[in-house]
Amino acid sequence: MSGETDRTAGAAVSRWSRSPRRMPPILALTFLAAWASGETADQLFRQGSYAEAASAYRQLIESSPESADALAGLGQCLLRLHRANEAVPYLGRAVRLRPASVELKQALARAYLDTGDAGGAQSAIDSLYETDPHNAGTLFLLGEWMYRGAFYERAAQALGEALTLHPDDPAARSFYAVSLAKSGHLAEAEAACKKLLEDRAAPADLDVTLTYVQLLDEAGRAAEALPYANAAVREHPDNPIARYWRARLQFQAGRLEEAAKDAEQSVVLSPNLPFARNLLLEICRKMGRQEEAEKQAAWLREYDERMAARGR
Amino acid sequence: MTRFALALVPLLLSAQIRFEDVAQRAGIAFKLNNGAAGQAHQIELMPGGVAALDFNNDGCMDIFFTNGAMSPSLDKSRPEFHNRLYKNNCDGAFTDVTDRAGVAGYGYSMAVAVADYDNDGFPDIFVAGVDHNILYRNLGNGTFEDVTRKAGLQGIDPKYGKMWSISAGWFDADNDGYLDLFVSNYVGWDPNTEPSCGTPSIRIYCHPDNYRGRPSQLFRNNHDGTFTDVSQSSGIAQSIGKGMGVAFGDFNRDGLTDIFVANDSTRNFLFQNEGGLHFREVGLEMGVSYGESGRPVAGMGADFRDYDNDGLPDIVLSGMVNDSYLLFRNRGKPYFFEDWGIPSGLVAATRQLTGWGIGLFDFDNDGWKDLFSANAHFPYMDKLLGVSSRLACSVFRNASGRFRDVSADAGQSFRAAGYNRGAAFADFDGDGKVDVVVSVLNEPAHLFRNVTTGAGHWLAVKLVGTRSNRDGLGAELQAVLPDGTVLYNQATTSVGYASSSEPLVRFGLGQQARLRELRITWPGGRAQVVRDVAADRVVEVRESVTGPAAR
Repeated sequence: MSGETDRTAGAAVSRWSRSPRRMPPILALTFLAAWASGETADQLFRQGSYAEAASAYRQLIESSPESADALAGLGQCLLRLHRANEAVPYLGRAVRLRPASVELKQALARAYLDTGDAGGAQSAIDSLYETDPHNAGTLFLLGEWMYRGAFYERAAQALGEALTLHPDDPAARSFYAVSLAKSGHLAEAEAACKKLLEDRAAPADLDVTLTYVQLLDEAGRAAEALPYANAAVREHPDNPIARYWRARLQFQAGRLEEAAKDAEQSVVLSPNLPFARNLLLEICRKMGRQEEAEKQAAWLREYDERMAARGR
Repeated sequence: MTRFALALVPLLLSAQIRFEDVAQRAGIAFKLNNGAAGQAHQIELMPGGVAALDFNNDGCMDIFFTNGAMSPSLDKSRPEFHNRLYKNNCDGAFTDVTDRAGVAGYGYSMAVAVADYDNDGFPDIFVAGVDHNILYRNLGNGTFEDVTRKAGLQGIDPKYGKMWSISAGWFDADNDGYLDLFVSNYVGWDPNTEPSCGTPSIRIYCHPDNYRGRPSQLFRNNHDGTFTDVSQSSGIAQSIGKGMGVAFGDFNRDGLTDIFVANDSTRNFLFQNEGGLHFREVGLEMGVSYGESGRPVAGMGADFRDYDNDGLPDIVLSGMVNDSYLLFRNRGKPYFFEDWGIPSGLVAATRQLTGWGIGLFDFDNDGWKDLFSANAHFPYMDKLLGVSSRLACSVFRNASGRFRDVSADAGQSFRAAGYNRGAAFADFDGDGKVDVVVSVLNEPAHLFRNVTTGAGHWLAVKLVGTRSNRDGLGAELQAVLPDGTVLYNQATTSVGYASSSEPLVRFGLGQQARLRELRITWPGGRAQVVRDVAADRVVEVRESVTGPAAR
């Protein structure tokens, strides 16, 4: 999904509100300092100043390495700073210190998902699901995990259930709509996409727009799809996938010159997109642009040989 | 012309295609055994092919099943791993004659390809496998001789050794009247170095990306019972793929048979026959390497024949869930193939399927070839897909070029779910309707008898080549109906996944009970015409030695 959504907001950032009770003076002073730093870090986090909050949490960890709250806070900051790789060890330690915390486990699962650590994500999500299969956050993580693995039927099931609990979650709605389409629930997918596209309150996700384009195209309604592809290119002129889809529709409509322009632009924007190369090849074949077709074929052959050489 | 407009020739009102599984009643007790013991060795996913052949020339189609072995030892000694030959008793029942025929086999078998390679009038059997290939010469007395070594078909490659072969097919590569052999190889596999996927407690089958591809092989028939490996000199070995189904057709009408190979998760190959036993891989140039989406699909089975009655052979291949099957419509020169998945309705109809065996046959004899698909997801995918990995087979009715899934009404026993694999097509009961035999992983095979009511008239042509190969494989036939409508088909046994179908060439004739003409173009281009042919029978056509060259 192209839209960024805070999936773990509210997790493990406010454990500092306990007042320092009676204790020896030196210890009380240390605790007061930590308490004050914790409050500051939380405040920075709530303000969205994640880099500063992360520094504050790091200081806390230096003085209290076993503070689950500080570890969790730092992990959350790093997640929001798109540094999921760094977040994993802190969140992992926090989960070990507080194994019953669903929120922390969800944050760790999120970090694994964002780093692409399949084993970690699977294990974390499995554990969450076994604990509570009806938790909306867990279902969303499961849905996204299945979505990323292209297991769309399972993704749609999990996301559908998550949406019954939180019907307005925009990212979940987008993933759900796309999963429905990819798993062949075409009528439901079309309705879900259309609703999202018509929802003026939330700007349409590009993936949803292009999924809708694909749905219409595969239903033999390419002419209906074209305005949406046009809109996608208008709003995301530098997105190679939007260009690709418009090229594909133009190609099907026999508008070869326009199709070639978009396909060429898609290849320029992302030279390593084999499907854009293949489309350009197809267009050139039809236009009789033999030299360009051969160029794309040569690239695809070389790409394919690279792919085939992978593995053992 | 728009993408949806085809030349329409309605021959018959719609009949509901129906099948009934009669395997048990017919005495077919075969169970495809992959030898899996929980360690998820990749070979266990891929068996097994099945063949329809008339090994004793009694006019009734018999069945040969390939079978697995212990995994990973590849020991086939136990009877439950033997390949099996069932003789059709011509009365609805079959008898297991494996031991008498001497075809139980050895090693981990995958595929079967049947044809008369020595032109003696009896179909021979080639079995392709992981560790061994076997060529059985039909001795004509109900028994077979293992001539693999004598023929030079062990399949040992100088660079790779014995490769894991998945499919094979017979065709006359050089139109010399003798059938040559093409073998499709999958990936490098060694149980000692095989990657492991899943968790230590739950092993799952790896994605093919974890394995390196292998080239296919071509063996030239030397006319003396031996073969020469011409994989290198022919250009075939230059293309490294992850080969699955193989199908043959002459896409550019030059009289030379071309080869299509469906590859698993890499681009497909189309080997254009340039003559002189030389091939050039032109999949990208001809538009069949990828579908319009530009993504490689997990290609499985393939068929290469004219689906829309325009006289040009098209290509269909099955894929994995979310791939959708691919249909490449042959438009002729200069562009040849075009992805026809959307206009034909196949993309939407097959998105949720993982298909193995596949075939374009006219099950209701209305003049349009329908599509059969033997389906199953991969075994571990239940949890991930949210649906069972066991699937029923599918049948898609071809209504003037558009496919409609009519499986739901195709009969209760047809809807039984399982891990379906190879499928072979033949008229086993002689009623003129095409039946299907399907291998099922670790479960009893299906023999789907076609019980469609209201099906049309039909004609089956048994070719007897005299100058051409004895089976006439590669011949192209046109059935000209009294109203001038022309139907097209071709002779091939290489259909679907790892399997081999009857060599007869069939036509569904709808309401037409006669043919004005039956035109045959034999391999190499010699033409022959048979006039005023009555329908609803098998007609034998012997190749004329005086026919004019057609091309």
